[in-house]
Amino acid sequence: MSGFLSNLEDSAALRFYDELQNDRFVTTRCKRCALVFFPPRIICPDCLGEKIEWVRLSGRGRLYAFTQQHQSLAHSKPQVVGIVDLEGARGRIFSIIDAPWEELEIGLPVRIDFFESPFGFKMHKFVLER
Amino acid sequence: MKADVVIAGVGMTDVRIHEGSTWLERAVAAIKEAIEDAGIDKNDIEALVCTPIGYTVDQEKFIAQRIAEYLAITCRTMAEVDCGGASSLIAVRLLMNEIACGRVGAGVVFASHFDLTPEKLAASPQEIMHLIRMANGMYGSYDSRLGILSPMPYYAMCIQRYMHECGVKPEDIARLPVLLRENASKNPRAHYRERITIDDVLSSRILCPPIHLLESCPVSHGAGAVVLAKASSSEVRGVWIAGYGEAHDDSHFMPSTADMSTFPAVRKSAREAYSQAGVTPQDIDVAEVYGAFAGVELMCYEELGFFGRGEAPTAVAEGKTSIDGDVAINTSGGRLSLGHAPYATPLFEIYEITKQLRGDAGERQVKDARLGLVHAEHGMINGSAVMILGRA
Repeated sequence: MSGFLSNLEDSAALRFYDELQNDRFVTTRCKRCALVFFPPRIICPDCLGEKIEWVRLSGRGRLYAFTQQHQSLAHSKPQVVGIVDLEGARGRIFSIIDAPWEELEIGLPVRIDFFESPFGFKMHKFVLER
Repeated sequence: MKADVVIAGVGMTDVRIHEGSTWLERAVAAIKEAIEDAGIDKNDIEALVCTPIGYTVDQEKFIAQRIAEYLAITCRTMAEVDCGGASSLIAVRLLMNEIACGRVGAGVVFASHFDLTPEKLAASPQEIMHLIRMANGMYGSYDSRLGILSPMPYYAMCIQRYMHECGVKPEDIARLPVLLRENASKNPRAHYRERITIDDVLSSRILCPPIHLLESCPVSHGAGAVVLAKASSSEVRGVWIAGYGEAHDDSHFMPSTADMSTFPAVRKSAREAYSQAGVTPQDIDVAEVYGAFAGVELMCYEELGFFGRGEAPTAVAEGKTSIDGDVAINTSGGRLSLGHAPYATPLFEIYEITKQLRGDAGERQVKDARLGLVHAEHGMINGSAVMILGRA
């Protein structure tokens, strides 16, 4: 997998993207206080417990906010991006929102989907729950 | 304790895209102006505290040391402070405490900000690679995968939430850039000085919805410098540091759980500063607020306690923040029109407030300004610093 656009200091992030290559959307859960948090970490951000386990998320959530990037490293055409409040975890994810701009509203239910990014690795995006 | 320290002198360059001078030469110009403004002997400077140069440049190391050598200044305190856009205000806090605890008598905080323009970046593969590394560090392992190169999408979504929750309309936000440009038209150092209308703002290109081009700060270069001294050494021209507050959230850019339409760090840092100075927001005559985009600038007015939640747009429309209003905000032109050179911006703000409190602000002078406020933030307002200055 490409090292481009990655932070090699964060092993939990590397594991997250490795799992994503197989269409698995995962994060970590603290075995001490039972908190499921996103993004994953090797230590619990609440109780600092070091015993963590990897769990799969449903990939459902609600659209918290959205906007459009006109240009970025990953694309040259306007692209809708947004923040999703995740079901089953404390935390949010910033992702691509694959839906027509006119149909979007704050609070709409969305679910994860996967696609091949221009850099040759699989990425997540969210689509409207129908 | 804080009343022991004064802003003895201020200096700054024009805020614009500078060609034909280097970051070092601009730093030297601002420092010279500040030392001469303070009227102190260069040999009495015992500290040099600086910030990095810019976000997108592969910068030189040891900035303060280079300046010490260039200007032949021997020091007892030297440091480079990096905390994003709040850096130079936090550097002022560091030096203020050094002076208050008696280690040094006087010193200089300076910043010379320089970032490559998008055109320059596109022309240089080496700089692009640096930018990618920087974006990885800045936006983290997850968000940087989306190819994000600027914090604008975060700001856009935070403004969207504010508009959604408080019923704020695009035209309510578009009034602010018009007022800031009006103020900048009276400031010879400002990046943009030509007056604009609400129609100009609303018909300007949308960068990231709901942010229009004229609601965004420009990329600017510039240097600022401030001389701090013990009160006894320069009381005459001095502006007192009356209070200081600082707060940082447990987030960087996107808050993982907190409401994106509020800025707890701004609220907390302001509360600490007011309490230390023994004043209320209503006592402030003139303020420089760090708002990189019009929408979040309005939100900061509310978090600083000047107006209730959702009330800042109306306050601006009613002239309450104009030069002759209840609290004159961003008389310099603010980030949108004075221009924004993030590492130096807090020093530009101290420059403006110091001129205002001395009665030296010319056409922009706020009548009988006695108490001023300076605000800076970092990330997407994940951390904030507030300083209250008083007329000596």
